[in-house]
Amino acid sequence: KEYERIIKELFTITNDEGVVLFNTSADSAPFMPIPTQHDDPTQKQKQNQNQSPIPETNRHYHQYHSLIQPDQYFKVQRSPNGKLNLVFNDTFVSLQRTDTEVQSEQPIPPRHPSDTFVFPDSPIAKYRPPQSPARPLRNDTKEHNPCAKDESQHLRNFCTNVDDYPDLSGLTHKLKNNFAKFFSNDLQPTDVSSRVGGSDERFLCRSIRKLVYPKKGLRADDTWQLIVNNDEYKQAIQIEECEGADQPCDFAANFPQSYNPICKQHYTQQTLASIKSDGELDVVQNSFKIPSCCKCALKTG
Amino acid sequence: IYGGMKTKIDEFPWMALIEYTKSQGKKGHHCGGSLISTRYVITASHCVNGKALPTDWRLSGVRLGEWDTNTNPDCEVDVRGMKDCAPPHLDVPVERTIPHPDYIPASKNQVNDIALLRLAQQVEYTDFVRPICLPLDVNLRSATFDGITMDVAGWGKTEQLSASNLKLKAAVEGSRMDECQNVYSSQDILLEDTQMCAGGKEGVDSCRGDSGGPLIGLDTNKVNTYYFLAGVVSFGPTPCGLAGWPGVYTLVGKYVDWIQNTIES
Repeated sequence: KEYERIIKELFTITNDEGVVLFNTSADSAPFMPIPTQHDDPTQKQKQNQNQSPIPETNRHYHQYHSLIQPDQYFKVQRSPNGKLNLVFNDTFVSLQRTDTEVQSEQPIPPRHPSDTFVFPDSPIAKYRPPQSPARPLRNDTKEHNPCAKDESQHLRNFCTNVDDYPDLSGLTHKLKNNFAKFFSNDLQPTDVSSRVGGSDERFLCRSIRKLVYPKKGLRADDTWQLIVNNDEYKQAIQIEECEGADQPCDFAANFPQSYNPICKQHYTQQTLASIKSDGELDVVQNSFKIPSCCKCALKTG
Repeated sequence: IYGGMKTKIDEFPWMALIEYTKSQGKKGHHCGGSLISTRYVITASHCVNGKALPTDWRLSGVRLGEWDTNTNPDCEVDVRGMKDCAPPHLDVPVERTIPHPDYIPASKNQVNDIALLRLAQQVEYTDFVRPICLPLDVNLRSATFDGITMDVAGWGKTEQLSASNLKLKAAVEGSRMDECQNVYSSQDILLEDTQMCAGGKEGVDSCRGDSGGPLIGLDTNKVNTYYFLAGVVSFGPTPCGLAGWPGVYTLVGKYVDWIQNTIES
């Protein structure tokens, strides 16, 4: 309860990807990793003896500092007992219970946001708290590699190739009768207009628009789910992704110094026919996070 | 142009860029056109008096002999490594704009979307400035070009850029009018037989900035094979290159009489 209170002081908890730091800023504050340092290797060996499995990441601790207020920093580290800890300036917060604590509790309590914090791009992201055996792996939050290995597109929210995509022939009747409206393949234009060139407008954030036929997607609650998309039943969605999410906007140098212009990915939600992943194969509808546009946000320090 | 490829430096030498003068004397090119004589360029009427044109833009001239808008003069290195350069481009003032009298700028259907631009001076033909033939042949005047592959060319929007610096071309196939009408009916657009549709293949289309430019056909008569102006880029879907949504073009064959009667010698 105590760390919960401290975390709420430090973080804003939202449904967006990653974490939002430093409640003092108006919106989510950008932060930057400080190069990591290696722990003493002898200490690591010692840890390996009494803790297993030890993730690779425990050799490091990770430091981040706020881009707006460089004097604000925090450090994520693993203590010898396997806990993930957060040091915010001088405040010490434990983010995680030890494995033994988790295993001793029956039944498993509902997952709490504080034990699912994952820092994108951080090796810590590979480490997940132990699962209850009953919990289906597929529904896991922040599944490590949800797409097939040969997935060529770098889509953050969708896979267009998935290993072991199920055979949906058994669902034909239901797809045809109850879900027909999802599969109208008629793509409608957003607009029909003359093809005179636009005025010379430029957007401050570069983005890519594309049409994708996703086989797996990130749901509104940040879990991955299979989506109906095969040769017969196709669902197309139009997405727009930032080319450089969380990077400075174009012409960033031209803004007044007190503003920090950053390109932000925005999302909308769309209901798609999807596949129930646990138990019997079934088709259901779920809401998915659709990258909808990329905006330049100005933040004051 | 979506799904386009670079033209050669001397390919389609009738292509024109339409120049607009904006507030504070700034200039920009936002439409295409085709040279049909030493004194006239054909473009779309909506490039002259369209409702989408900002009120502070004035059509002031045409650029001829252009290939790469980033360089002047333009040069292309051939397979032998030899540099082939064109003379500098020509910016010719427009003396008079002649939108088709029956074009209604605010109309949904954009019928009669064709205009003539009379140049302030005669231009001299070179390898890089040369007119395209009108579809004068009786068969071409009444042709609908179903299933005929033609090239559309311009400097308009591409998949990556809001305008291409290089003259691009893409091959599009004429579609059947009844099929095209079916598609556009969903947008309450009624097409007439003075219009035609081409494209509809995913990712291959004309786009913003290509308006007024040519849809180029190839014809062979007893004497030779020649390019002719089959259509003028008019309108189409956003996003460009949407599968099943061909672009709409003004069918030039239906306007040959108007053109001939309007052109002064």
